Amino acid sequence: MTALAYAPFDLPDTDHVAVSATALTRTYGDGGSAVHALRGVSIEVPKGQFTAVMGPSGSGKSTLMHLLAGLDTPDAGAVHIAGEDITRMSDRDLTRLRRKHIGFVFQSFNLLPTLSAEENITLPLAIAGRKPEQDAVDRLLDRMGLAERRDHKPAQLSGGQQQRVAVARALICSPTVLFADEPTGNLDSAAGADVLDLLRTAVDEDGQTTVMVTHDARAAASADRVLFLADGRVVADLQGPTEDAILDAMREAARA
Amino acid sequence: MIRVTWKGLVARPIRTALTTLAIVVGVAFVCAAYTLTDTMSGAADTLTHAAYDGTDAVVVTKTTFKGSQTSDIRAQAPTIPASTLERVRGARGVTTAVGDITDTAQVIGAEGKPVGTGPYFGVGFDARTPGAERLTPFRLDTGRWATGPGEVVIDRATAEDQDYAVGDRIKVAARGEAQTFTLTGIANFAGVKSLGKASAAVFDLEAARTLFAKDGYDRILVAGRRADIAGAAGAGTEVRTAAEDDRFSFDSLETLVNILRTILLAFAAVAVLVGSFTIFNSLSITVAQRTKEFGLLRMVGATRRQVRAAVLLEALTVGLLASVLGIGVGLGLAEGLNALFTAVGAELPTDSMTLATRTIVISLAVGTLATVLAAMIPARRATRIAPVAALRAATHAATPGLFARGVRALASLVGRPSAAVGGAAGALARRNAMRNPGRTAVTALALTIGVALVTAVTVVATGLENESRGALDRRVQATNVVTAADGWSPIDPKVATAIGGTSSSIRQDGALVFGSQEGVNGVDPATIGRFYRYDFTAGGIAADGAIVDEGFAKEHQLRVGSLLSLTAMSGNTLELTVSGIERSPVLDVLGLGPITISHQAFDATFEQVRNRLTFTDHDATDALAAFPNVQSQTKAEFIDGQTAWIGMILAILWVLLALAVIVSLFGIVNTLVLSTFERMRELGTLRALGFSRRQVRRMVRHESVITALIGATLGIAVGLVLALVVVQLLGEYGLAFTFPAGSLIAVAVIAALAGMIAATLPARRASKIDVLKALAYE
Ligand SMILES: Nc1ncnc2c1ncn2[C@@H]1O[C@H](COP(=O)(O)OP(=O)(O)OP(=O)(O)O)[C@@H](O)[C@H]1O
Ligand SMILES: [Mg+2]
Repeated sequence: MTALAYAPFDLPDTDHVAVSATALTRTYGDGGSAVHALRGVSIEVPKGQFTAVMGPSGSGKSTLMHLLAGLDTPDAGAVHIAGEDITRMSDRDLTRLRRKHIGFVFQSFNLLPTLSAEENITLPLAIAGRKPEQDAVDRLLDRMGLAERRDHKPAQLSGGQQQRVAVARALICSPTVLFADEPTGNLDSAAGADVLDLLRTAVDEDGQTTVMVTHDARAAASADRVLFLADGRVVADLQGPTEDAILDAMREAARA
Repeated sequence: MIRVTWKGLVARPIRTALTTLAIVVGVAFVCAAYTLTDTMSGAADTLTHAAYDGTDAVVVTKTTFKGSQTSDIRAQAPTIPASTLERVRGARGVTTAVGDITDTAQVIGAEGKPVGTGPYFGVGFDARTPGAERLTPFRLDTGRWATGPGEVVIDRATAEDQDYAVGDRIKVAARGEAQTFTLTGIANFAGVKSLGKASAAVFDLEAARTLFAKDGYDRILVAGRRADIAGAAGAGTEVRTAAEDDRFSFDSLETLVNILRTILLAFAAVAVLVGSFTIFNSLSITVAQRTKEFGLLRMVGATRRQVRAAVLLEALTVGLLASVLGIGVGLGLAEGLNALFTAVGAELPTDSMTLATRTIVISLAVGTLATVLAAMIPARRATRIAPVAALRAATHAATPGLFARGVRALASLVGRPSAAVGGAAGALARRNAMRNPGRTAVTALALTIGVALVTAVTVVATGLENESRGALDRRVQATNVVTAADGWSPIDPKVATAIGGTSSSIRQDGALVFGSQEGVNGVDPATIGRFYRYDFTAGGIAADGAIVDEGFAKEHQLRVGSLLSLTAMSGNTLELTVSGIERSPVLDVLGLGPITISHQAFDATFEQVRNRLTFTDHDATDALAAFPNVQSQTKAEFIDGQTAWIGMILAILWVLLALAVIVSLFGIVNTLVLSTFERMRELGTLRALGFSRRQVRRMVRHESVITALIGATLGIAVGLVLALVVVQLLGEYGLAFTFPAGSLIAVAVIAALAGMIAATLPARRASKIDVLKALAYE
């Protein structure tokens, strides 16, 4: 079962597929100044897969991720998460979807400055009105290497630590899919490597489906698969990529 | 720089509007204070002129002192004999001279009660003398003047109120029993239809002399050369202008208007102060948010002075705009307050609203200055922004001071319930209220001012009311009390006779004592003790002595046995020894004044005998059927009636202070809106993490409620301290500190509700944000 063999108009395979997109288009503005950010993108992310999305600046990576996560609505096409069509959902249903099925890691961490590390991590549970299981929280804090820092406010944490809090926050609800937009973009390589390790571990140990946008070939190499976007289209789809293969594909995509 | 400022204001319309509104209310108050009182005194002026201009001179019997029109207790002047009128008429230069009586008479309405709330003018007018119409302010509208006994003319407002028409038989109460009169005419007073809630009954002069039991006239009104009159009137008389004489007491109206102006201006000051807080707060936040912008301006070469000028110019623009709006709103507010006074029965005569140049100038100056002054500190802060700030991410909130830390602790405390009931939204709201305690403090402080005043006023007024009621309850031993229908007008002694059974009356007049006019009461030493209890600190009641109030005794160094001399208006003097000194309550609710003498001494000294109230031991309602202007109340009803005005004043103060509270709500709205901008990224993040729109609204609402509760808590605390100080100062008069728990809980609940209302708009805006845009927000 590969993504390329996927027929766009078949019903999505909900048993194995976490997220699927069908013929997504998204255009900003209109007339002469219209920007075609996506020109018909269809992808399918199987459960438990770590997918990286790469491409030159302005190729539509963030746009694609926003559509997949239900933060934006496509002009045409559909997105399914856990078998549900999210493209025409009401705000209330989308909110419910985000609570249950989606985790986010942002480039700029976006922790709440008034909350401690631990409170930030358990925030999604609090939002959903669920009690955190202290065991699970402790384990997560340990795994993120944050046990010592649990009561620190974001301002008292380094960038790497903040991003680890953000990863923990995204994992706390075991979402159907975790989206990360350039999670290492604001970090030095050591801190970036830590965060990638954590994401990789979550995929390996918990089968956490993950979609990550990145510019970094090294980061992409830790994924199971790399999708290349150029000018709003998928131009390549590498399975089990090595860093060299990725660099080759990048050169290829840049020429396209 | 002007362009930068202007663009800034236009680009942020909501913020500009909210900042503007904060000061609009204060300016509106200033404008309304002047406009309303100008209008009222203008109306009083017009009335004075219309009423008195046709009269060139007034001749009265010379009195030992001029009865003060504004004193609670009006001394009765002696009459002037008819023979003097004949002499004045005979004088050279006198065109017309007529006798006049201006006393009190109530027109009785269809339900058998006096119409209006007073003053109730009862006038004797000599319509038969040619040219007399020039000397009266009454102008016939329909019918003819009363020319004999059993005839009366009433004012048009009263006639219209009761649907009385010429020819009707109506009841009017002068002295004694109400009598039936034929309504021969309806008159306007000085060209105006209505005198507020006043009424007028105009009788034939000679009939009035009988009605009011007067030997002579109250005064002689003269048209002619004033210089010629004095000689003709003779010794023992005095010639005045009609305005000096002021028989309709327009003077007291002017005094009332001045008091009203002072009170309204005091509230204006509160509103402006609260508004300034709001301006200060929102400009502070704005400057913090625009750190980058100002840094950039500095980087491209703007001097510190130019940056300061930009902020001050913004304040100046807002201030001017607010002042202009405030004047408009103020005119409406003046109308509204006028309607409010009418609603509570404190109607004063008004024309259409008068907007004086002075009002415009002061309103503009107050609004603009308050805004610019409030902008000074934020402007200085803006100048301290270094050019490199343009390159740095916005960092703010210096280490909080002691006060801010206190507010943070308070926020943490009053935020507990929010965190408990509001789920994640409530918990986040509590943190948000705590994160920038300085800002929360200033936002809340605006509310604190209003709440502190409400609290202090409520505590003191409740204390006064309780103490007054308690004092009346202790003192009044009668089961029933007979008073005038309005509670304070004098009543005829015949009433006491009509009641039957046992009764005891307190009479009242004014006399000159130690050089100033004081209220003097007459009681029957033999019976008063059964109905009314004095709280003697020394001596007691005696048939030939005087009881004086402790404060009055202290002021004039009186002891039991000291000599006291009273002089009535007529010149009669009375020498008495002090027989008792009594401690009177903090508020003289019964308006009794400091001196009490026996009926015997009283009746021998004063012109006419009139009672203030009559105590009795039975319900006299049936016996009083002939006296519709008199009522018999149970002791409880009497106490309620005599203390009701405290509650009324408290209600007016509450309404006025509510406006100050509304101003502070603008401050809360403003801070919430600005904070929402500042926390855009966080809102986006929360939404991405599954925060629903409703949760966003709830979060903003809880923060607002927490802020309001901080303001209310601080306000109640400050108010209680203020009240304690006042109570301490008045403690020696028996005023006790009462803790009006119910009212204070109501204040806190209202504050919380107000916080919710204030949050409506900011909460809606915050919940409607576009998640993607919010996440990309810098
Ligand atoms: N809100 C918007 N309004 C108008 N144009 C937009 C908007 N968002 C994105 N675009 C345009 O759409 C195209 C795709 O943008 P997108 O952010 O998806 O690119 P990206 O691949 O994430 O780039 P980068 O690597 O720089 O983050 C770009 O040309 C961009 O200018
Ligand atoms: Mg991007």
